[in-house]
Amino acid sequence: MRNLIRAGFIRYMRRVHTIAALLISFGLGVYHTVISVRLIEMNNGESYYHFKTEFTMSIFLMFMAAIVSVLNLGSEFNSGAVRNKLIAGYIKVQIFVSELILSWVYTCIFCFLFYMPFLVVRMQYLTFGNSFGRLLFVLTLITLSIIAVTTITVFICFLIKNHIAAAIFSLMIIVMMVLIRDDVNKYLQKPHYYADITFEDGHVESWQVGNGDNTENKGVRFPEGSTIKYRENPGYVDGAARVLLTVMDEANPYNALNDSSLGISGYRIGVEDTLTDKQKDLLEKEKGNISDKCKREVAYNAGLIVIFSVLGILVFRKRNIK
Amino acid sequence: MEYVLKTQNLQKKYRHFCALSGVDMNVPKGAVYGFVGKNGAGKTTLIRLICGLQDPTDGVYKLYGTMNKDKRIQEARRRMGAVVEVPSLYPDLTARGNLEQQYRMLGLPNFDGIDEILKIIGLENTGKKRARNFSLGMKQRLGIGVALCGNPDFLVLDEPINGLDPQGIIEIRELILKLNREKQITVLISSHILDELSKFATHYGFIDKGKILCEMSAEELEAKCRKCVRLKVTDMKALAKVLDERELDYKIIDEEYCDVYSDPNLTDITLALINEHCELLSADKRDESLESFFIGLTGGGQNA
Repeated sequence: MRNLIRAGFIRYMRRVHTIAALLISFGLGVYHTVISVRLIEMNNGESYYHFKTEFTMSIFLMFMAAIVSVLNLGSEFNSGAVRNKLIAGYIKVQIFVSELILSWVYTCIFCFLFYMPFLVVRMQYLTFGNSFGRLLFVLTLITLSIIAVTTITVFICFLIKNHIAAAIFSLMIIVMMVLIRDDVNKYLQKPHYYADITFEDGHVESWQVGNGDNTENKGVRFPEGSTIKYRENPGYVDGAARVLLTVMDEANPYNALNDSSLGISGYRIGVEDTLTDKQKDLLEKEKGNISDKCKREVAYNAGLIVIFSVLGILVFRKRNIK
Repeated sequence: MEYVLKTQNLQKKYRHFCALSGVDMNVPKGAVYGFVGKNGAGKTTLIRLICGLQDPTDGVYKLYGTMNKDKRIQEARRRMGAVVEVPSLYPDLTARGNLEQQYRMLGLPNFDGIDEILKIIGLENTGKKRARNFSLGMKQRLGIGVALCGNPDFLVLDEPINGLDPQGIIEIRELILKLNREKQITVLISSHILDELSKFATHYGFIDKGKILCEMSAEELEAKCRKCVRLKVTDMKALAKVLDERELDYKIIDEEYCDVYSDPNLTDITLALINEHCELLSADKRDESLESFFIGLTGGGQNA
């Protein structure tokens, strides 16, 4: 199988779209790093939003990795190279796994090229509230979520014989991930309670209490003399449906991508002087902390990779090659 | 006799369609085995099975004595090269690039031998021309070149002369003969262009409706394909009478033409016909072609 991977790596490296994807990855990485650094400097070191924007840009990597996988695999099927491999004595499992590894390797290279400028240039700004471990965790989560999408793409390529149809289907799946994530989030973020507050002067306001499971402000103190009546939100998704939606949310690679951006945006970069003591304490506590949700997302993405790899092997083993 | 490939009761079903039903086939070592059958007879299906592209529904085959269910079949398959239907080439690579890629895939330590393969297939002077710009004949030859990587001693070619012009057909024929004679490569070649096959095949296997009808050597086939003289006369009844009197084996084609088998004495027949007031308009020596034999074997049909 090592020969297959080696031959495939050289073969893919000589294809125009692979070279283009490598250059685009690096170019995008440089572009956003330069823009972000300039914005950080203009904002006296505050990088909160710029980081978020940059990490959400990883969606382009997701699309690009999927397209490159489809084009490379499509060429293998179209040229009949898969036939040559089988005739040469390789078994279908070896062929599938080698293609999978190749797509993972290229995805990792794309991610490395994209984040390398960030790591090189922007590390100097990560001076407070950071841990390198946490940064690596976030980058790993992003890469893992893109690898999960690439794995699904490889599976589709082995499932659908027509590579144009496979490409369209793969891109549709990524678009669906984005749309589903927004829809699922909309339901999950619905408040569990509403608080109807009657103020001293008699006027009534209805406040939503928390988002989703966050009910921590249920005990919030309202102005004296006001009366509060809590009522449950009938639109709140509860029970098994909530569990299902949560799994759908956390198992969605795009969601992991998005959460990574939030995770990294928790950093304060080079702004130590502007922080209050309380903020400094909070950031120090936060340092190195990785949310349970992000940890679950790592597990879900790894799960997706395993599931679609196994499915791909099963499908390809049963498939008749013409 | 030593066999490179033996199949026993090989079957392949696609849902409700039975593409192969109990195929028994034997390819002797060193042979050029002509695999003859109509379109849809099951030739390509059988080739796909022995190349490992698909799995048989039932039955077994042995490649160099290794059963297909044996784990060592992958090693045995490394001793074969194949071009199934269309050559498997990277269109954006040159002839050399395609061969180098195949060498890498096979894990060969260096590219020694590529020049020799390019010379054998006659593509040593194609330079930087990419495979997508090759003619069909060149693509077929490059496909065979790719199959030759790793020095196989069994070559499987599925309809390699389909769509080729006469010059291309001659080139492929000469290449196959060269590989068989000079490199002692056993060749299994499927085709429905039977007369072309008869120019170089040493053994034949006839397949129809997923079953092997018979296998024979070229000598056996030659003996079965009878020679005849086709006569054109003005009175068929008179000719029949003359031929009957001489106890000759013949077959009336229509009111004008008749095939007379064995080697008739034309002078004697002509004189006898004059006495019957019948004119002999023409006499052509004919061989019963491989096609005629095959059609007779399958009980008539199309596409052969």
